[in-house]
Amino acid sequence: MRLTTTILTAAVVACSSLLVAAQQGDAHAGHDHSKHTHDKAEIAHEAPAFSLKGVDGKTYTLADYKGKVVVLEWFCSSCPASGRGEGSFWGSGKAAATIEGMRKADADAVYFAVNSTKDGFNSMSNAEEGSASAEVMSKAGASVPVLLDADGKVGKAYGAKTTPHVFIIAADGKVAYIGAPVSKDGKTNYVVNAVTALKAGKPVKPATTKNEGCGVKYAKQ
Amino acid sequence: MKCQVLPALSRMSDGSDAVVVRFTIAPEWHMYWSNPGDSGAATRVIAALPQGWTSGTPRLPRPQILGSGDECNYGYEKTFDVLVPVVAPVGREPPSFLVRVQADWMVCKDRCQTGKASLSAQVSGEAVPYSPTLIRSYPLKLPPYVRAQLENSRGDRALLLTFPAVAIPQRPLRFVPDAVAGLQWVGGTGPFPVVEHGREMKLRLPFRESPEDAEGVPPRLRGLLLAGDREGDPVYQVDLLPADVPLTGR
Repeated sequence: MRLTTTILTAAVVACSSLLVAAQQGDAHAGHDHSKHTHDKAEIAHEAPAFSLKGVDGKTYTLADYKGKVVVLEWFCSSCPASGRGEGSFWGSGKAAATIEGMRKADADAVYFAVNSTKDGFNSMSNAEEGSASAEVMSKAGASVPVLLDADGKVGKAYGAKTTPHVFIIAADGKVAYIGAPVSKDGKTNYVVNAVTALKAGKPVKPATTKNEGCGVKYAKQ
Repeated sequence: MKCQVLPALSRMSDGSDAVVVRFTIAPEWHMYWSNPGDSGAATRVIAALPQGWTSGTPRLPRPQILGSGDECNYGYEKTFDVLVPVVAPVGREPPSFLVRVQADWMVCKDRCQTGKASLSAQVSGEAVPYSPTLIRSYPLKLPPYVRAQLENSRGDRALLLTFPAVAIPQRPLRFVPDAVAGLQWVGGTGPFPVVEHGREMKLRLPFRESPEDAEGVPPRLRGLLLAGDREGDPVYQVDLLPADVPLTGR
């Protein structure tokens, strides 16, 4: 009984924050959304800027990719929906197929895996988790830069909730897609569809889908 | 984590029968409802029956609202049953029948594991009464005295539910949304204020539609209305097509 009470109390706080966010969104109705600052990424709004170090030691800055489609996939090597095991997005080959499909649709499009897992999770530092991520990707045959976000600021700026969780930024710097990389039945590749639509100058449909996966293990701020 | 098919058919209070798939979860871990919330993955159960039998959509019980930090999930701890409604072939009541169940799930604590099961079980056709306590946690149809209307106000939309004050006395009222492509509920899970109008109460559930995200299927207003926080308090299934719900002025 005490456990139930605690859970419900926590839930009131947790889910009330959604309400506040929704009300803030409502307050913008009728205005030019693109000029407002938001607390997380939203469709048709400017993507949150970032500059993150990669596992390879290079620094990746979003502004450097203006004019290109950028795909960000939140990733964790120990999550069975993301990188661990044959059923995961990467272990099943779906990630490799996604990246190949993306490159076919738009050779200039870029794909980053972002690791916002806190230091100490699974007895690894964020950098070690990032290296493990790179290893998973290498084994899956589709290496992409792994960006390290140990303090989780970029993940929270985007509102990344799960691994995997995908955000696609159009060439104009605005968010064009938020959601799952592929449909639950695996038949629809939302990333490839979105990149194909953007390359053709068409609207992305769907622009949002429901993502599932492990919660991103953020550091407390 | 254990997933099992109970050895006998379960008889519900309305006389219908169900095959029961029981999940037993290790302490401190949790599994997920059909909409897991901010993270996690839905628990899925598919049952295959012998020729002549028919089965309905699996029923999941009222989920707990599991929150920590700014993450909100809907799911279960300890144990829960998925009820698969079944109907025997007309004129036949076999002593037992073979059920094949495919289940997959995600179970999480501070980390997550996925799991799947392929079960074959010989189930006794002699139905035993299902627990009267447990059955109360399964969603009821929205009662006919609950009037649904749609409200449009400055581009915002809301589902307005009106009901006699005495009919649903439990408080607080919460709404757990199902995951529906092309429709987002924007009020969180509440608790929602209930406005009194004489002997009637009004509950307002705001939502937004994005038909371009619906992937060809008209989005439905779907979720669970939780009346009260106590075990055994009622839970109602809301499942409406916006086009079928009359409009109201505000």
